[in-house]
Amino acid sequence: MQARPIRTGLVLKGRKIARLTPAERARLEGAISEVRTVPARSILVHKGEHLEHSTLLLRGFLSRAVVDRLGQSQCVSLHIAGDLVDLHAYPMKQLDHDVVALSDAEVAILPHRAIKAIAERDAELTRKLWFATLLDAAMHREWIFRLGRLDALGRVCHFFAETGARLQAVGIGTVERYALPMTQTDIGQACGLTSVHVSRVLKLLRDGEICVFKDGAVEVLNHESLVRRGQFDPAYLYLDDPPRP
Amino acid sequence: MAGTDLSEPFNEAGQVSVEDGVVLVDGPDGVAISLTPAAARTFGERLIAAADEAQG
Repeated sequence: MQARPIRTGLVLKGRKIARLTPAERARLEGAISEVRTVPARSILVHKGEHLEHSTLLLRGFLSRAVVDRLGQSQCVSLHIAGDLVDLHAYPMKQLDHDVVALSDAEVAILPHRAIKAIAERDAELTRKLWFATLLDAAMHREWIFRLGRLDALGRVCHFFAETGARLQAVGIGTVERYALPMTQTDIGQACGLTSVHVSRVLKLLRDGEICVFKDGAVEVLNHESLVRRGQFDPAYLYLDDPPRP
Repeated sequence: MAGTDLSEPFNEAGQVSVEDGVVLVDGPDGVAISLTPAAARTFGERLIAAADEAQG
């Protein structure tokens, strides 16, 4: 019999404080009921929809989006492979935002009955899943800081520095170079900027030889400047090996 | 992380630039807005009027 591929290999990777043991990983693998592919630019979960499962992102990029009364979207978080995207749906049974695919993506479905079984039988794995949700909360706090206290250039620098650090932690990029299948409009929605403002910032970053965003990829030319300009302190990501300028 | 005391008003003006026919305002602190030329003109006039009023 052919062994199934490991689908939880990136979950909490790079975080010793919540590293999964082989037994915990096997238990989480066993909780997956199916794997789905999600086309780019489609909505995976709608705000308010009743949910009996949560989602683990296996491949691609997802975002959480809140839409205003005029239909304009604000990206309130970015998700990369290995993220438990909506574990909070387990106790809440619905989301207060949409989950949108930024690229073609592959997700694993975790039925809530399986998560309940983990919660009832495995306190340590439950703590680690709770950690994953708290990590989301820590990033949300940082995104509030980004929008509240940083100017346009600082916001984009912070966003690029954070995304690079997260991708490097799970081994699908480095802080110097990584794929980011977002448009300038997407970056604007994550940073509270118009696309023309993002265009201006990207030009400043390129001319200042700090960073180049082109063809869905980020190349950081001067990580120290990127981090300093974005006031990026990776402590809130709880990484074993945080990037140092 | 930021060093600005938000209990006090800013005593430095934000930076203003133009990109593709749009007026961009950056800073102070977390200010980052894009305005059409007409909106920027009106905004500027309102700022000047308010500054005059605030100075008495």
